[in-house]
Amino acid sequence: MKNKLIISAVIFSFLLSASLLSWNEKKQSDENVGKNWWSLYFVEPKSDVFDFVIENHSDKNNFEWTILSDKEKIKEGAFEIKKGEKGRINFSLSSDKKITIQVISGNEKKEIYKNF
Amino acid sequence: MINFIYSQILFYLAIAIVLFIPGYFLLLAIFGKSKVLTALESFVISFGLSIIIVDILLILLDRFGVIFNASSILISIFVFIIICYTIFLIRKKSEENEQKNFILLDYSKKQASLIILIIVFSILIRAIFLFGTITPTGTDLGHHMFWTKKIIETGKIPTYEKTDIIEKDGAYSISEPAKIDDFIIGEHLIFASIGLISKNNVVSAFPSLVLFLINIMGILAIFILSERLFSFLPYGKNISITALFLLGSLFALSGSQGNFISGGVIGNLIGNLFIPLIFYFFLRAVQEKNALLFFLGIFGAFGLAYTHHLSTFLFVFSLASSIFLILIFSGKEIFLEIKKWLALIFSPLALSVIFLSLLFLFFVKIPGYVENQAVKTIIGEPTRATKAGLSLEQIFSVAGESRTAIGIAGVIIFLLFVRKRKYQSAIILGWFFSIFILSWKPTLFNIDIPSARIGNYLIYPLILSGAFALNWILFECLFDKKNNKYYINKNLSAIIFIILLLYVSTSGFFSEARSIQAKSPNSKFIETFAVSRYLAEHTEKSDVILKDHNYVSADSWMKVFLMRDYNYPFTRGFFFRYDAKNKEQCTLWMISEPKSSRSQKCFTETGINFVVVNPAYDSSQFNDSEHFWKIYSSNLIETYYKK
Repeated sequence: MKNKLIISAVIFSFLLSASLLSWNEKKQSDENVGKNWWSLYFVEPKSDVFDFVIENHSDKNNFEWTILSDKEKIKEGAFEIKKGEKGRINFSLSSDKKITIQVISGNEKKEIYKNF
Repeated sequence: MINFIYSQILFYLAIAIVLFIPGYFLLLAIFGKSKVLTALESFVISFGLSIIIVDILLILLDRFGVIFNASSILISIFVFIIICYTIFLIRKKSEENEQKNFILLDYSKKQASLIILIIVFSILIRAIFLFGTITPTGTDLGHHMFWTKKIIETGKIPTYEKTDIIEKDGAYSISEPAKIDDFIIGEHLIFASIGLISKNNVVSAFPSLVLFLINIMGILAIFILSERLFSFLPYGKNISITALFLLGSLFALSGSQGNFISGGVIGNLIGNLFIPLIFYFFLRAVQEKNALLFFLGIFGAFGLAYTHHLSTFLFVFSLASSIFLILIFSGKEIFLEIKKWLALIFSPLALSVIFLSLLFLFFVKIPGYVENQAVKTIIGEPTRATKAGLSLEQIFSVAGESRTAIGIAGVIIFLLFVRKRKYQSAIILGWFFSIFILSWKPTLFNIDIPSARIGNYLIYPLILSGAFALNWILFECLFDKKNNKYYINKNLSAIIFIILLLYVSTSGFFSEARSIQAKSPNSKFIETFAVSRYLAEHTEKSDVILKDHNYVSADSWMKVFLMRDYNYPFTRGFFFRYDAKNKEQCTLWMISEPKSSRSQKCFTETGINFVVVNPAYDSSQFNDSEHFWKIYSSNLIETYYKK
């Protein structure tokens, strides 16, 4: 009988611990819960297509983007992306210069570019 | 929430089906309802046997071309259960009138309460430490889960091989896949089985939770071994409870043990479960002249050989040392002792399992490290300083200074006072001395294995001898048997015991806490996982990716998202590795100096066209280069495309 009590204690403790750990892992792996980051990337990394995506997992929702041809500003805009969402800008251009996408949110700035 | 509850239920059902039920039914077939094993022993042994049974079943399925999926695994386990139950029913009829006397182990109410308290505390303290590291980011775990996911995706046993960047005659290229010796199929099949049945992603808590359970069962394996080892002493149960406390509550005794679960050192953890179980089987088999237990010992050793090569090697060494000591301690009765062993080895059941094991080995599957003759690589002069042996100070540190001290005290006590109990002494002394010598002076045996890895295996025999020493001091040294009273005040004796226990406990506890604190939770891996998904969606098989291991968090998990090759993406490894002779330098140059001519040659000849780095350390050398596009940017990750 005491053996069975010990076994029950092992099983119960493990199930309780494992469930709590699983729940915690779910939260830790969530890209949004308790996180504050955002990313910027090209939809097609290898081609001459300049469509880009801002993926927001931060507490800031406002993003201002600028497209530069070498250092010359050719287009700009702003939009609001809620936490957990993505925003996509489609942009096409035939160019033999360096095209840079700069995005600013609060005091953070990121840029990506393709150089022809 | 409902999805979470559902996935949890599936996960625990999968654990029960894969890790307990097969072993339970095998024990039922072997022992029926006899009281050879206590309920706790059955529980622990079922777990160990289930791992071996499931490995064998899946290897057989693969051999006959059956694809692994939830159905095939469940059906094969079900068939196995039916066979075992049938054997149980047949044997039940023939054994109804037999009565056998076995040594039953039971506890007083106080002992049971203490055991339960220690076990619950042990499990919860581990859970607390794992809270920050439960997310899968460990390098070793990433390596192992690549193979697990490969089994899940392909439904077959994988070929353990990888490509690499090689240099020949000044030209660089990516090699054809070459065999890898470091992985053994038994390490991955149970994870794949649980993953297939529960439908859990390997990039989740489930692998670490399975390792958590293996660790708990390893501790209980030491507990049941300890009970049988010291059953001849009136205070034997106290020794087992002390061992449980030292091993369980202190969350493994060194930083390396503590990180094994979250880090994913699968083979070591399984080895630490099987080694005490196999010693348990052989000890009881020889003491009780029980061929069934001897059969289980051979079965366990066979299973270990398919799970972890280092554990197998160390176990064989420890067992050989123990048998050698048994023969020495037998003195004039040496031939009687040999006769006893031969009677067990040549029993029909033992011969059957040896024959079937050899059949399996030669006609079903040879472990990869045997097939690739990896055994040859561990014999020879040490190739690095880390394989030349640990100093005594390092050994003390690996095992924990206080535990080593009390453990060695136990070894000395065994040597001086307990030799007449030859099996117990031989196991403790043989196990301890074999591993101690291999980690201290491996050159004596011409062994070329990292000494710290061997040193970690000292913990279990030291715990057993240390627990024995603590209780021997209290119940032998301080107790006057003739007059049935303590030499000093009983309460003072108890205080001395508690002080010794606390000394041994607390220094280890805090060193463990520091070690775990160094791995407090962080979310850096999130960005690595995000870029991995991006690259998995936006690159093709012809694209070749290079990433950095020094500054990119959880980078070894990128391969689990991309699933192209074990060594893909290629890696700029730790900087000190590039000092080694014959180490290719391309992966270093391509990130450290991407614009240099030698680096450009590497890019051209290897075909690497994507590079993943941490911008805080490796961004400036890529910027303003006409050769690279920056195509992905987040806080901790930048990815460049070489056009």
